[in-house]
Amino acid sequence: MDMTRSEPAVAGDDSSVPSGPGQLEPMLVSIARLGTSGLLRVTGDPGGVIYLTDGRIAAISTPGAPDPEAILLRSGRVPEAGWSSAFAAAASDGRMGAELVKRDLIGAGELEAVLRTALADALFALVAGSVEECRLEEAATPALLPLDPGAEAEWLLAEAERRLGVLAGLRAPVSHDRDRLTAVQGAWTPRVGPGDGRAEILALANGRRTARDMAFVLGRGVYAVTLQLSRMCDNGLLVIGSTRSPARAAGLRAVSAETAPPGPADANGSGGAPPLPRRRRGGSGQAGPRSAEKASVLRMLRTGVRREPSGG
Amino acid sequence: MADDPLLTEMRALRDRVIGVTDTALASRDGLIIRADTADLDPDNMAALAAASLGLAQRMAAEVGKGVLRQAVTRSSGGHIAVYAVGAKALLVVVGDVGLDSVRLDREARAAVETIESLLTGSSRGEGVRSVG
Amino acid sequence: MSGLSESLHRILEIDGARTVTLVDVGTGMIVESVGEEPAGLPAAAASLADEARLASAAAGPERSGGDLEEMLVVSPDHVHLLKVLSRSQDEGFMLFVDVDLARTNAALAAMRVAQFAPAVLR
Repeated sequence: MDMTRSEPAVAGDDSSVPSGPGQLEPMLVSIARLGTSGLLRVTGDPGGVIYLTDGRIAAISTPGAPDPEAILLRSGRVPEAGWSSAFAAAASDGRMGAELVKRDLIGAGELEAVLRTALADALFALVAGSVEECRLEEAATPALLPLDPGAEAEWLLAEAERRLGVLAGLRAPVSHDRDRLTAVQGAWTPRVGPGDGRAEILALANGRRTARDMAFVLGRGVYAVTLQLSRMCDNGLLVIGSTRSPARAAGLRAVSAETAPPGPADANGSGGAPPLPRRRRGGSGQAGPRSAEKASVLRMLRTGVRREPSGG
Repeated sequence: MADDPLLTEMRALRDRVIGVTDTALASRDGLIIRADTADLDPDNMAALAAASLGLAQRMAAEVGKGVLRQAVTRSSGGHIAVYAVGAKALLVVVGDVGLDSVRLDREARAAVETIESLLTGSSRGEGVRSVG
Repeated sequence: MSGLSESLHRILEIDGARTVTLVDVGTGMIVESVGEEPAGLPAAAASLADEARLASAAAGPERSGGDLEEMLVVSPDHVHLLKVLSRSQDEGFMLFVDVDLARTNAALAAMRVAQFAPAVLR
């Protein structure tokens, strides 16, 4: 079935490509079989966009994981000025990758390795989150740094499954997108040297950032940061301070008959009007199965057999 | 602090939208009302945001393209969005490079509405008081 | 064939090399692999990344003697060679080469790998 015709292809047009909640994995498998090109728009938490070329995955853009640009720049592999020049010269022609290599800003092999690891991380973020809907569309603008040829969806999905299995077996579990980490008092000891990657993490662990947030700051993968955070929790350097609750809460808040004006002088502080009654819109999306449960679901989709997830 | 409905709403916005790192609520004349920030200086943010919003609204009026929805600054390390909250306040939302700006667009409108009614409803039409 | 794949194939031409795998240190994932791909390779890659990290950590925070460069795990009939191509202790890449010692010896294999390794990321 040719999905590369000029009018946008919408999920549901082609009865052999399933659509609807939780259909990301089977959809990618069908797309691989059909050799589809275009764009798969995934709504959910984090949701994102998967760029497809001939059934393979060329790039993924998601708020859930840093893309190659974020990784290359934030990690310091490519300096900002060099990136901007290359971008100005080549981005509109779709030759950004070649230009970076040509200008000696990064080796071709290293660039390819970064593109592959970024893809694996992004698909992991999509699969580990919740998916509301997948829609196939025509790709209007190609990705800036596509992998060419693209990666096989099945390979990326297998890697995502492996990661979920590892996370499910951690001694000190950390949710990559929900748990906010705080440095333990006295964590800065002679054990943590300046060149040690842990110092960076401790500096960022202010109780507001999740593994995903830190990954974006550092230009590292979300899964890699999650593993490191787990080790640091296990070693007593970090604790989980609070947890992000993404869905908009349904139902009413508490009502108070008397209200008081907010106190502007105390910007962070106490006082201020008690909550007003507010009817919330319904929660968006479904809370997908997490970690171990998700790994089990993935296996079932791929093999048709549901097994209990094994640890580590 | 758990009872502060303004901060609660601002924190909820940070929870709901991936990539939001800080938010601040300020009066239109650049004075901070509430801040949910880490390393940023809320007073500086408030003053700059007020100036930025004022300028953006004048530009929107000048080109005759309707009412300003948000003033956005995008830099290599992230995004800053400023929203008018009624006529007398503004909301600053700071995000990292992975900010889910589509979701922010949707969630910010609801948040701005909620915050506006918290501000105006609670003071019975007096609006926001400036610091003395 | 991609650039990475070509570089790895060049290493596969070394006498006795059976598997050449580029591993991402921070995640333990296989970035690219050529040659034989036994079923346990993904798990082995992840374990090797852990081992390299632990070996690095064992050197202490000051890392006297410099950063970890190479590890050899020697058995009677084969050697597993790990060549670190890393940026730092926690991120970067590592080359894993499985060499059959019937064709060569560990020292020679290590030397050949060291010769070709820098070209992998270039």
